[in-house]
Amino acid sequence: MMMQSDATDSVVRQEQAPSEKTLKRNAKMRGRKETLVFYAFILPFILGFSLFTVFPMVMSLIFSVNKISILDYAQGYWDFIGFENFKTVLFGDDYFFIAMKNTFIFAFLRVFICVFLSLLVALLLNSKIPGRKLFRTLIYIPAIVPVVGSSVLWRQLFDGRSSILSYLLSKIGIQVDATLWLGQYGLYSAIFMSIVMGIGPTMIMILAALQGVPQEMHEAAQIDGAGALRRFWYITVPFISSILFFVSITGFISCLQAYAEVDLLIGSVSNSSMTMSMLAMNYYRDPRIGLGYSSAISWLIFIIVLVFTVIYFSVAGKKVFYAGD
Amino acid sequence: MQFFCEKKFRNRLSSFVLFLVALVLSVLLVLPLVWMVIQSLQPNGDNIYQLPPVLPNPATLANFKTVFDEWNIPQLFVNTMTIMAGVMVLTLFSSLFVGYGFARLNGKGKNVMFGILMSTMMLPWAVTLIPSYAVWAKLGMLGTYWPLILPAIGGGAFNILLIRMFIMNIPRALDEAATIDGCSKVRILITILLPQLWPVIATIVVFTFNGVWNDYVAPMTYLWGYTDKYTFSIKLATSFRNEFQVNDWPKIMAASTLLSLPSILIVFFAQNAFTRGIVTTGLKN
Repeated sequence: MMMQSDATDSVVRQEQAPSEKTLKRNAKMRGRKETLVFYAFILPFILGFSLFTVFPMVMSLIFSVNKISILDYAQGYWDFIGFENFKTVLFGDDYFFIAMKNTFIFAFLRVFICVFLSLLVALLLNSKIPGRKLFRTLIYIPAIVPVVGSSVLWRQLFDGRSSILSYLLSKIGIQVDATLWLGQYGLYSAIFMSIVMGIGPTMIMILAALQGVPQEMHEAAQIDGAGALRRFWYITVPFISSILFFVSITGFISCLQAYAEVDLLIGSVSNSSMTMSMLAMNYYRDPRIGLGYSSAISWLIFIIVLVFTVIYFSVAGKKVFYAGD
Repeated sequence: MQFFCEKKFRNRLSSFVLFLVALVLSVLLVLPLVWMVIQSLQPNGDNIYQLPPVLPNPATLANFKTVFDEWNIPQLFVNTMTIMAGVMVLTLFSSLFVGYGFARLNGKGKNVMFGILMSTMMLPWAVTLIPSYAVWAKLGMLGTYWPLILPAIGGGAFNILLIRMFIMNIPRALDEAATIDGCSKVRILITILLPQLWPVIATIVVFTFNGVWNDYVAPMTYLWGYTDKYTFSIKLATSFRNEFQVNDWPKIMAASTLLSLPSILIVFFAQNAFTRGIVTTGLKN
């Protein structure tokens, strides 16, 4: 250990040389231990993510390049066919492009109209009117009704035998054949219902953003003689642009996969109003090609959503103003 | 002085007009639901088709009774609540621990994990649902509640972000003092942070309740055909599709009203928890 003769020197050396090493090693060990503890805490997420997201996605990819049904899979019978399923969907399925068109019509109308209306309602509720809190709750209620409940209800309101909507419209001079609501206009009826259900949450998010717009700026601009519209455009809009971008992008991601509300409202009525997800869900129990074919469709949906998201980010994302920048 | 009065008057007027607009708008949005309740009270199915619409005369609760008995609503309720209990426990447990991990701990690859967490919010559900159905079917677990409960182990990105954000707003000094006193991380989380987290827990409970109660796609996928396992929501959906007769409208409307009631009540009672949840989803990090 320590040598008696050169005591001071060795003490200095001992204190210098190993201490740096130990420090480093300690820091490394501490870092490693910290990492371990971190992963121990987020273990549930890793478990859930790998078992219920990654694993199914990989399975889905494998299914999509096989001719396989749910029965084949249960018996362990696989038939590799390469990209045959994708080819059939893209070139052999009459409904895929109809469904794609419908889905994009649904998404664009639903998202833009809903965000626009929500913005108007949020501006309305951001002004000083009595009973704001109650109005906010009332406007939110359609969003909270279970999708099954509201679809059944709207099914009744659109019902061809006695559509109350056609009746009310005829009172103001617009004649609409009641059987069209769930027929030819089915998709638009679904969009209408979806907008009614979607205004609440979107409005509340925009309202929260509106409350963060600095009031001093408005006052300063007012003193400088800026009118209400100009103040809205040059002060309010930049401040809420990030939330508008957020609600529209999340709206697109969910609407491009629209299923439950459309299926429940018009699913059993008209085939020509199908969305892409409805097409995928139509096939997965099919005893012949089901699993492989619907997996291929669902991967196409995934790719379409991804590409759209990237495009939307690069086009609209640039226009967003972040107050922190 | 006169100018001042005029301006005040104008402000009052515009505020009144805005109030009217808000009133009309809320009434329009809630009207369909009022219609649903009115129709559920109709004594016979033909009344629903009358134009102009007639009010139920005499109003009757018989439709509710019919639905209650025919569909065995208590059973449906128990089924839904069984799923609810499992999902709730797993969700709260996981989101609490994972949220703490992301808020307070550091480790290699934390940013990558966080990116993955955020990306799960954007994943299309069909890509995972269809193969999951196949795998659960192969395991012979269709018609059980496991496929509906177990995926909640992930905690849900939204809930994790809520907890994370909330913990990040609690001063670290508290944790550090406890660490010096020899408190373990788990104990810090349970005894020091958890008692302060109740508002965000309330939000998660409310959203999870609505998520499970309103869910249609997942139970329809995993429970379809196992009628004694149905949740309320898919019972309504399947009966409406399969056994629906024209005269059943009042009954269906009664069922629909019953189904919507818990969701609406919870929003009224937990308004703050609710708004907090929606607002926080919009606050990206």
